[in-house]
Amino acid sequence: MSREPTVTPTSYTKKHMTLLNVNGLSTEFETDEGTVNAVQNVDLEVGEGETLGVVGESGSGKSVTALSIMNLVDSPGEITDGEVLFKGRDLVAEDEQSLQDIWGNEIGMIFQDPSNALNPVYTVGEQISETLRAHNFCGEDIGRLEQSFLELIVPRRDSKKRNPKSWDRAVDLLEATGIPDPEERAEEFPHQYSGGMKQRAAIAQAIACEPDLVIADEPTTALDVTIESQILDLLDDLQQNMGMGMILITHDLAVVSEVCDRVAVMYAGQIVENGTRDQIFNDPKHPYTQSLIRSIPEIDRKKSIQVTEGQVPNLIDMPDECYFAPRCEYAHEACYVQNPRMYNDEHNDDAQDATSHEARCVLYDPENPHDVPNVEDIQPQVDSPAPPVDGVSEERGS
Amino acid sequence: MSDPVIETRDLKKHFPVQTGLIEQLLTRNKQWVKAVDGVDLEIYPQEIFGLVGESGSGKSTLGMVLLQLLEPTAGEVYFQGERIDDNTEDEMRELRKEMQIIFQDPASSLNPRRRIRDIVRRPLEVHDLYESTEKRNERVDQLIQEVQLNEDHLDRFPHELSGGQQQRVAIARALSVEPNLIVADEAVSALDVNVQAQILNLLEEIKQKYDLTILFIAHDLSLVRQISDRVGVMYLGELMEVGTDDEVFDQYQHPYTNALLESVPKISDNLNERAVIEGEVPSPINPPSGCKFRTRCPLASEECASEFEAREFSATHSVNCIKRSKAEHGGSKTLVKEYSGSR
Repeated sequence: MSREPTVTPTSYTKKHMTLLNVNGLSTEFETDEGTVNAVQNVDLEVGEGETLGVVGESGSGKSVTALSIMNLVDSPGEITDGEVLFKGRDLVAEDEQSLQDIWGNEIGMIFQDPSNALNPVYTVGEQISETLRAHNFCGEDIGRLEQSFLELIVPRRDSKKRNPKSWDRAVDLLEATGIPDPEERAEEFPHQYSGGMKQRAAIAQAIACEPDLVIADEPTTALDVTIESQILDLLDDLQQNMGMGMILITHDLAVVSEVCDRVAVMYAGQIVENGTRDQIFNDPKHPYTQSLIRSIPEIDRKKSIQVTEGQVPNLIDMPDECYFAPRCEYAHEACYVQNPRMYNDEHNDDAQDATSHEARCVLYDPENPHDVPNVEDIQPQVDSPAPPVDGVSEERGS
Repeated sequence: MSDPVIETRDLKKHFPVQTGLIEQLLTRNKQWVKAVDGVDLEIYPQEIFGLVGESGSGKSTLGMVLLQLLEPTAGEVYFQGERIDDNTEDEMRELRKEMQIIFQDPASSLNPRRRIRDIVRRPLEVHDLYESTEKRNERVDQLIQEVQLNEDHLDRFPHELSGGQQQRVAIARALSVEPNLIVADEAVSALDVNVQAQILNLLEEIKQKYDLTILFIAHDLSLVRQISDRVGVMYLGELMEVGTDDEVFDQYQHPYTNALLESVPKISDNLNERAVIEGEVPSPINPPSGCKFRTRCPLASEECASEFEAREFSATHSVNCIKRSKAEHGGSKTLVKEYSGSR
């Protein structure tokens, strides 16, 4: 049985210069029970205009990775090792003052819950224009008074009059993110927005200063499917138009398959597999990635969902072995000797691939060959999508 | 077909909109949130009925009204042939042995100060089942194994368990009184995919074992597809389409069902190829007249604003859309073509 590819193969070529290069990033949290190694030795790379998807279950360290990249980890957490090279600057080593210039300006961030990301006591337009003024984007800045200890008594509700350029740009941004009647809506408070519109406003704020990189942490998880597809479309469009790099953090593999160029799969604080979208979905290597893909319920047909028993381990005092081994059906002695390194995919003979496909699994150790799990075994259910979807895509193509 | 376990006729649940005192004095007409607005639903023995819809569509309210946890504004609810919406509290308490609910967030539905054993034993005490505490404890031991936990878990507190384990405890508690009907209100939405799959399998298993009827409320269509025998699609308090799972997912007729299915992210799909419906769910305070989906519907025309009856496509398949009649559209998958230009 030859296996149909799950995602349309597109030749991935590394198009642009590297924007973000994360090397050996590790973050620890000191707790009463012990040290939690939330992020261990993570390597990531994002090119200009490229979308990197980071997937994993809850507790796998996705969000802490994002915060560590921003150098936003707070006590009791601490970045213990590694570097984050953003356009040649190491964000881990920068002081707070220079980071202030980068946050919201060169790197924008979108969070899962838009109601928490927006300030309830200021109008939406006010908040977006404040972001613009904080980085002096339209030639207007935050006044001395506002910066001083008097900030609490300085009225901040008349940005429309005092800083018309920033205000106008805020309105334009709201329009660009698809909010109807942006001029009136800019003067409303977040609670007057629906969930989907709040997320649009949060996106408007994140992209206000035309950042080079946007980190979106579960941006659609709190939203309904119809709104989710609208927001994904919006992010995709904005990214195409503005040429931003994007890191999309999500637990939803289907979302990743739709918008990402490259994918990193995280488990227990480590990256266990790293490759292009095609490699991950059509030829998953690591048993964990395979189990993730298997456990997704599908809408086009009924199938019995295969389950990997057990849970993500507690990240305190992890033993020096493969972290997935206790749940892995291919586990054997070699898995318990030490935590495996990343192995390159040697079986990949596609010369077009500019990046390698790596998996943190001893099955791919070239010096110690094993029977590699058969991909056909793990995905017997793959066939073409249901007819209704096809009908649409054909007509759309014409 | 056998008699339904639970049945509703033109069921409505309207909530009053809270306004300030001055506004109350000045305006006469009170506003209502029409959370459930005329639902006719039958759920048959030993089936899993999946109820899907966006947030605010009234799925959870419907589940609560079915169990009489909320009093309906109008309409009738029948449980095993008997009308229950005019029951007194005492009569309901007796009946609750037969109907149980599992909530979305297990952490907040389990008492944090009680050990798991006490939590699972509590319904047995409330309903005075089994003679002695020892007998009840035996039953608890048995239940905890049925949900694939072990006896070590019984002496722990809820916060010592993971989300999936907590949800298993909630299932054990619901099972303890051997009910006929379980309402699972977003029971797996808060869990990771892998754990979701584990809990779904568990639900299937206990359904077989206890001859249960389950109302499975979820916003995730692919989950509903996996587990349901019949499916209802809800929008702004009304059922838009009801049918067997193949009828709703493969031979769907309602444009809203189509839109929902299109929006689901799929691995075998490409973002740029799918139809996205515009706009958001209108406010349930003043919903559109006639078809409630018409404000977002690509097929909508003037006739949609008038009242109409749901149409039967087969004995099990009913569609609430004026544009669909069996004569023109019966049983085919022709709908999607009209839909393609909507982006």
